[in-house]
Amino acid sequence: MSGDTSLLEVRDLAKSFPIRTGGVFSREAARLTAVDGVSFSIRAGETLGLVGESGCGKSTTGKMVMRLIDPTSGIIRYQGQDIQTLKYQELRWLRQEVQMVFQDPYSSLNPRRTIAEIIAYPLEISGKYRGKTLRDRVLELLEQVGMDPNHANRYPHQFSGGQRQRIGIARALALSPKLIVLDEPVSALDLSIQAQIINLLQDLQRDLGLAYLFISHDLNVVEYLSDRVAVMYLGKIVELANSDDLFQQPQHPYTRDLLSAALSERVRGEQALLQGEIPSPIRIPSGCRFRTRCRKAVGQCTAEIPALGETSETAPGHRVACHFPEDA
Amino acid sequence: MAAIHAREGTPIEGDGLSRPAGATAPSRPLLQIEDLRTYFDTDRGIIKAVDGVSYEINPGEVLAVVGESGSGKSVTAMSIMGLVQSPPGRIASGAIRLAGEDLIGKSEREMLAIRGSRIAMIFQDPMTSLDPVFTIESQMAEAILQHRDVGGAEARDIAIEMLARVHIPDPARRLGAYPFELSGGLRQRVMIAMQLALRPSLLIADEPTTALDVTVQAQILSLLKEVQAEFNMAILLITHDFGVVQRIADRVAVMYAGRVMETASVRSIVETPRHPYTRALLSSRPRIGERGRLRAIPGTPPNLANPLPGCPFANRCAEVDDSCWIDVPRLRAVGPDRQVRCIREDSA
Repeated sequence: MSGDTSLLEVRDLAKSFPIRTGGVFSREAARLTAVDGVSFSIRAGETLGLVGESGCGKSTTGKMVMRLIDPTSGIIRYQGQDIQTLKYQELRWLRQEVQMVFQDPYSSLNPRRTIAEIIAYPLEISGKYRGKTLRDRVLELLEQVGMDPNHANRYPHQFSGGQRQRIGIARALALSPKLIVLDEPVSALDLSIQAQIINLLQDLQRDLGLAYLFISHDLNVVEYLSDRVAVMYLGKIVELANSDDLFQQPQHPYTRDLLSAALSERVRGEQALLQGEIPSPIRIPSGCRFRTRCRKAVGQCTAEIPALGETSETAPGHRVACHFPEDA
Repeated sequence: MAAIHAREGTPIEGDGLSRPAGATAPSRPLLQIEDLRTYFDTDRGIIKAVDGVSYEINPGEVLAVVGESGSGKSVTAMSIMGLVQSPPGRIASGAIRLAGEDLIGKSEREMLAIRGSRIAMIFQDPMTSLDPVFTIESQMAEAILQHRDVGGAEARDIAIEMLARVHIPDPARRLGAYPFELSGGLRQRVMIAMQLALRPSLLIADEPTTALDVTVQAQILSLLKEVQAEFNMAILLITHDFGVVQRIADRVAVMYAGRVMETASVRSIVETPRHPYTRALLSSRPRIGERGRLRAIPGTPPNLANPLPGCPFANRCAEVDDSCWIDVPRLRAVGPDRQVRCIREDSA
């Protein structure tokens, strides 16, 4: 895939946070590395799944794409434009093009506004809608996400979690974005409602040609929505591939372990469990950062950081960061 | 509202709870819940969070209670523990028997003795159930000293032994740690160790792995299974996740809108679900290896303050017909160790 067809292009993105000591002589005691050299791209109309456990940097990456936080280094290009350099007017353009849906539909909607007001807000700010066109657009959006337009004047607390997530999606759609960052959009929902929202996201993508950056810890859900999947561990992408390749022929030992943990329902009883927990992002292991939990780790894994690249075993576009990838 | 049933003796009408004489039950159930009704008086009316729930757990058995939010699965557990806050909550009727002894109506003092030593509980978020200002040692020792007849030094030894049992590395050093110094997985291990120290016969685990990462979740489930066998402890596992159920449970009770809709062995539930809700729930799961459209369940669960007449699932059921709207179907025994609450099972 060449860079010019990409909607979003992320290169060597990194973010670290200073950890300060308390007290009068506060100083930087350590650095927490949340994201450490992440590169990927998203084409128009495509879904990239970003998977990993808590603390792997997937949400921090999403926030940087939204320009909610600034990277320590690296470049994010949206339609070829470096988003760090955008000034006020161009930033407003970016805010129309790239929108976000959050995990918790309870805390991301203002409880004092009706849902019509919540959805109308971005439309008003854009200055493109007022009066009847505004009203019509709000009703159209409500219908698009499967909400009853007669409920437009109700407040968020009058709706269930699934309905609130629909409202959050309607708000994100208001300005006809091309890319939506979905940060765990169904993780807080019950199973029967989760399926409704996943189907809605699929329908909207098909009808509106949206691209998604879909951030989730749940591999089952990720496979349903994603064309390609990137697996993150401690701030780095360890494997990136087409959804089918990744799920059928995972090459990185971590991807394998993650899959087998998620598939555990079908392998009842004893199985090889991934031992230990994710190391602290303040003290990242040398070499391959997964080596402390990896069954295959040898001396080379301590000494050398494996690069994310294609191997002779892999399908084109299937990249893995491991000195000893699994056999296909 | 349904009539309040007599508590003693007579089996609950039509609920098919009492095992037929000579059936496979090896011994008396450890815990027996009969027609439990737990209501909350609110300004929106009476919320019937638990509305006629019956299930039982045998010694050493793992029963998973599965349901979505608002199904009443956690309120049932809180009722067992005697932890339903009153007001607004109250147990309107029913029986909760632990080894034959009814827990409803026990004084707070009596319940204090039962909680911990005979029934223990772990929660979804171990951070909120551990006290942030005390070390692991002081919290474990307090519980052990309260419930077991041992001295301080012995309590410390028991604590170390239990931390080792749940595979916490370097347990003696961990005793000095504060909860915030531990990861989520370690905190849940500490909670489990704390409960095991009291040697309960029943452990209630309310979404014990929901807040954990998937690889850590698998570790904790395997630990629960291990200690359950080792201590011959029964587990009442409350969860919304069939993956968790399939890993460790023996039997399942599926709850919806304050009622049990179906109970059966894990295998039967997953392979041949008989209630339309169980079927719908299972097929709405996204699963690795399958893509395309999910079969979502339309609509939302009913309003528990103002339920419609008839089957609580009728408004979302794919197999609904006119007769479903008349009465709440009974939970009916449809085979050995299997019960279904659906009108179709009545006519079958």
